[in-house]
Amino acid sequence: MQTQEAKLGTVPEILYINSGSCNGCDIELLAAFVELQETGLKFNVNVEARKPRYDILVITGPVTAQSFCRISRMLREAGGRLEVEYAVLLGSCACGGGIWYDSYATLGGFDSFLNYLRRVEEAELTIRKEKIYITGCPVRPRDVAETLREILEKIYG
Amino acid sequence: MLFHSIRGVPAIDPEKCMGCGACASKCPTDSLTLHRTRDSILLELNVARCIRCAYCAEACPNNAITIEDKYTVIGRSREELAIRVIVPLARCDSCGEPLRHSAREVELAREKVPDLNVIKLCDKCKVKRVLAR
Repeated sequence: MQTQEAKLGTVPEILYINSGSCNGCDIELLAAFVELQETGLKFNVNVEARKPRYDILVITGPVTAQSFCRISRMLREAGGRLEVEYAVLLGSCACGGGIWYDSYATLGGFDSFLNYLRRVEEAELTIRKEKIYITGCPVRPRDVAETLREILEKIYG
Repeated sequence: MLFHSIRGVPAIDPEKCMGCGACASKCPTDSLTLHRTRDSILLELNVARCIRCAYCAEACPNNAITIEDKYTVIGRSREELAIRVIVPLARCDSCGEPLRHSAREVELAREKVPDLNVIKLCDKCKVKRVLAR
């Protein structure tokens, strides 16, 4: 793995956003990270965007109105423009809004959030390669770990 | 393989579904929706929004919905995660126009009430038959 890291130059960066989830998927994500560490693939996890580019975006939750303000503020502080290679949507909430799909307090999932962000033109979030939906309420750690491992292996080449 | 206490994704049997909409009315997230077209009923399951509560399988009167042994579905787009079942509507015996009920609903009603023979007529033909008497 050392040689692969040396070839890449950097360690893949994961940006993790909790957009108002119930913490069910977040706990499973932690379990998935533990399982990923056993594979020996190295990665960094950020909970705050400080750079304009990240390799993987992991998002949980149906994007509540309060978290929308915080995410857009975070995007503005990161320069107003964020680019990610892969986006992994965890759970029914991020994939389609879940049980709160038509609530007044949520935007109804990540896709509606992207549409909303495009409409208000506060900041820009672009996904370059793939958007992966992992459904389940909550998701299972093994599926998350396998998906992230596939992506990390693609990045490492 | 899942534990018996974990519920998986619902699977709809297109041979058994009769398009009554009981599952769609029970679904808490509206991931099961019923659309009516002119000559068929479209039942759509949006797996991306499904929370695996299994209320649909409880509500189904014909046992068309079963809970699968599979929990996670991973897809690259929302179209990939949608399951569609098309149920044809019954047709009027005299004029051939589609009725409001599906063909399987009419079959089930005929099995339960064998001597009801006007059930497969549209509204116009029913009026015509009553006036002709």
